[in-house]
Amino acid sequence: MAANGPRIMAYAYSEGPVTGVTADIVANSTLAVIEQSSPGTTTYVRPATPELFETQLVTWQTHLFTYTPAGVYTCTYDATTQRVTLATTNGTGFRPVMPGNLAVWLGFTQDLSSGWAESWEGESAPAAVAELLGVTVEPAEDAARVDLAEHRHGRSVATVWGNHQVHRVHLVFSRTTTLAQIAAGYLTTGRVRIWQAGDSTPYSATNVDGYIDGYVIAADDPTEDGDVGELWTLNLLIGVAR
Amino acid sequence: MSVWDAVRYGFSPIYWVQISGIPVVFCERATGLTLPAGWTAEDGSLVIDDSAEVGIEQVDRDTGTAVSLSFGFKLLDTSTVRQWLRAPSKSMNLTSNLTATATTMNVDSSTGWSNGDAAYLGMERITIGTVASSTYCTGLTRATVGTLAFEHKTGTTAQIVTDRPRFWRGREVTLWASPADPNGYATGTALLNDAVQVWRGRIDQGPSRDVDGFKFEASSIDRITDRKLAASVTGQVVSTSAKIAVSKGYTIQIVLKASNSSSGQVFGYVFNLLPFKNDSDGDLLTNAEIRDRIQSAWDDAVSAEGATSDLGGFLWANYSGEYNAKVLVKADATIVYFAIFAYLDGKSITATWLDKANGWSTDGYVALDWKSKGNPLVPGDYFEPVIPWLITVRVDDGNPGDIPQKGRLRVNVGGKHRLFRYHGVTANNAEAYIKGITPIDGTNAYPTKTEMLGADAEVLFGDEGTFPTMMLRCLMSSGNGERSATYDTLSRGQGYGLDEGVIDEGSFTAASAPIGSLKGEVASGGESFSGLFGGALGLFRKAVVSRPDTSDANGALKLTLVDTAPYGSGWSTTLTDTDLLSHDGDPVVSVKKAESPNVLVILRPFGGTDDGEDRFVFVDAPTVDANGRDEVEYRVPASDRVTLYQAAGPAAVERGLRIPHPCRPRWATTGCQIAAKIAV
Repeated sequence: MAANGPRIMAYAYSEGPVTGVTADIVANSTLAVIEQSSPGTTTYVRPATPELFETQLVTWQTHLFTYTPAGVYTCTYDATTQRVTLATTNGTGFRPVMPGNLAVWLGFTQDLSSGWAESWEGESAPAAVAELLGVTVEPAEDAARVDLAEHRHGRSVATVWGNHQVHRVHLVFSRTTTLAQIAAGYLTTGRVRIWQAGDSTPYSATNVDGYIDGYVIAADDPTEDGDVGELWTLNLLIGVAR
Repeated sequence: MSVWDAVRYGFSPIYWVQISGIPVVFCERATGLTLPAGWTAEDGSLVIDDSAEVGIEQVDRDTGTAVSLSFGFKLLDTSTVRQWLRAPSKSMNLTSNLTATATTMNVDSSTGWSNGDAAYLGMERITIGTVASSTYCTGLTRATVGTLAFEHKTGTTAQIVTDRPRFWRGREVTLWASPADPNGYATGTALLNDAVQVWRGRIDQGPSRDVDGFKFEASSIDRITDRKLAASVTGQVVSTSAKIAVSKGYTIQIVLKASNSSSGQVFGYVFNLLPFKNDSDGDLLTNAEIRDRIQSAWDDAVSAEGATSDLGGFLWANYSGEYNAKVLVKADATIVYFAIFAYLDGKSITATWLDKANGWSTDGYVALDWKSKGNPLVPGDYFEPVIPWLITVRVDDGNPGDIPQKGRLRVNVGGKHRLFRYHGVTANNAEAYIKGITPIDGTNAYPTKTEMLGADAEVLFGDEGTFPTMMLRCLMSSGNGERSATYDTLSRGQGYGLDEGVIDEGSFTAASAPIGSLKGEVASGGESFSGLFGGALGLFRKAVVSRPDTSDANGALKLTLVDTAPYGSGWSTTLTDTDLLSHDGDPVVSVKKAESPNVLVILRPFGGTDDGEDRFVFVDAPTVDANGRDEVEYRVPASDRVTLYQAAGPAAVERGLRIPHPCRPRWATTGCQIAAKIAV
């Protein structure tokens, strides 16, 4: 589900398990909370598989309800304020814990080492999503044979699919989007979803304003339109499996 | 699921290498994570971008070996790198041999060395617990920082102990990848948490100076199977006589008592003969030499006891090859009775005389009940071996103690090589006494004793057993038993001394017939693993390759016995569109169709050597008529001709199948490895 405007959103990588402190490759998959009534207990939750950022919020919300001692949680992103809020709806005081690199992913860059509250809002915009002023998606191009794959010791410099199409995408970020948010990397590599407008169905030959969901094959450097202080723009090449 | 799965979601690998013996993790960038046990620092000096791709390019199905690519890397010229590459600042020399398990060492001078110092001997790194004195170190912790324990002998450069490595070539290199998220965050708390092994091998070249650092080139661990083994010892036949190992303290006690007619003692002596007091324990002596030593020891004892007025010499009387011990008793008419008791290692020998009428009136020999055709120390030994079943070889170089108890012996008899099997070796100093010799070169005739004496001989270290077992022994044997309790059993030079952690033993031991049950015999000297087993691997469509152990959390790369033909109907995994990566070509490629020869030639080398072979041929005559002869040849050192013939027949008709070779993405399911059967 997208907001009414154009937007780019990243996927978070996760291998599960859905709860417990032990998990592999924990960077931005795992959210933990400590409830005021059980200060000795830290509850960890994460999706079982990679998920889109907004899906991940819902998954966390569900798992927190299941696995925490008392809280009923909401995990939301507000497109207007561009902030993530973690809150309880049943009066349970808690403190979020950000394992791995989650603080950057969610924009919770403030000190979370003490205090209890029923609602916590990130002090920064999350690096997982950016609102766009506009986006240009070129028509799909066939790319069953692409020479863009580069391998170096197994490293995929670019992720290229044998059976896919590519879209050339030009993103114009909203005025509030900072270079740091783009440079965080989550929106310029890996898997992303780009909404052109409010259409929440995928791009197709008969639905050309739908979202595209694919893998970043190449990204230019972000550039500032016009004079310093103008809007940031970025060109991406997105590969979409057929 | 691993680093490579995450790559699809924008993660990138941080590559890092471990070099055995060097306690520094060299990485593309420092991670700040907890390092593997034994490694104490990380240095962001690694550059791998100049390396060619690594991995297995293909499997040579005719030799059962992988064509793996080498790995090149560079370490930037950082202070840490320089510290490890510069010349040692401390050194000392061993003054006595150091076994692979010793925890103390004798050195010439430990001046400058401190408790807890690291010491390098060849490829091994040792931590010195205590510098106990100027010539003695104790509390050694052997084989630290990923190295393996070796024996170190004096008399060569192997005796040099230094505080920094003198050798880089041969050190094991392991390339790892750890994930970093799109923001550059390295996951986990320890470097090994989410790491996967990418490559494993040994340094072949380097360090060589480059503009901004030092370059290294390393070969994949499976390429070691092409390296020839040392396992042989040359020498000269110096004796064709049976020999017995003697011990210095061996004592023969002889008690003599002479009495007169009133039972009074005329004389009495107790001699304790030490016939081998001038020899060393384990010295090998012929029967004649033993007899001579006993004779001399008697003379010495008689003289030392002042008994020369009563007793004379010791004689070995030869009666058609049977030797009877006798002692000379001097004339004394008052002697009417005497008795002689001899004790040979618990065996009692008696001789008595009684003549009350005349007395012992003239000098004469008294025969003891001590007769032997063979070993004089074993009275009643009537085994005098037919020469040349037993020979003694004085070795030119090396340690005769390394010669295995069973093996092959190549002897230059009259300008022609003769090949023998032997079973039983007694080593002493520079000599090896070799027993149980039988010809295995197609003739049953033995050379004569004269032909054998002085001939050049080469002991070819051998092994026998089923092929997978012999392969495991060849891969793991170091000569010191430290690599594997089960398979490190061959002599030094017969194996590659790989640790069992580098080998997927289960893949070998689970191999089914025919290769799993076929028995063979090999002679390792001058041969490589590929040379010894390549024929059998090729014939039965197997290969030994380096591939990840899917049961290991970090996907440790291990030498694994795999199929190179699609036996059976099942497959281990399925590749779908979402797995396949395009390399500007087909994502899945069928391996080139194996040749379908119409003539299959099997060679069965005698004793696993190059000295001759059985040969049998399977011919598809109609195809030869139509297409001409298309021949393939395999050398399989099977023990038994008939068994090999029965096993090879089916192999002749099962060739020519296709197997797919996926150009797969790294993140494809873990079951998709080299030589895995897959569905597409």
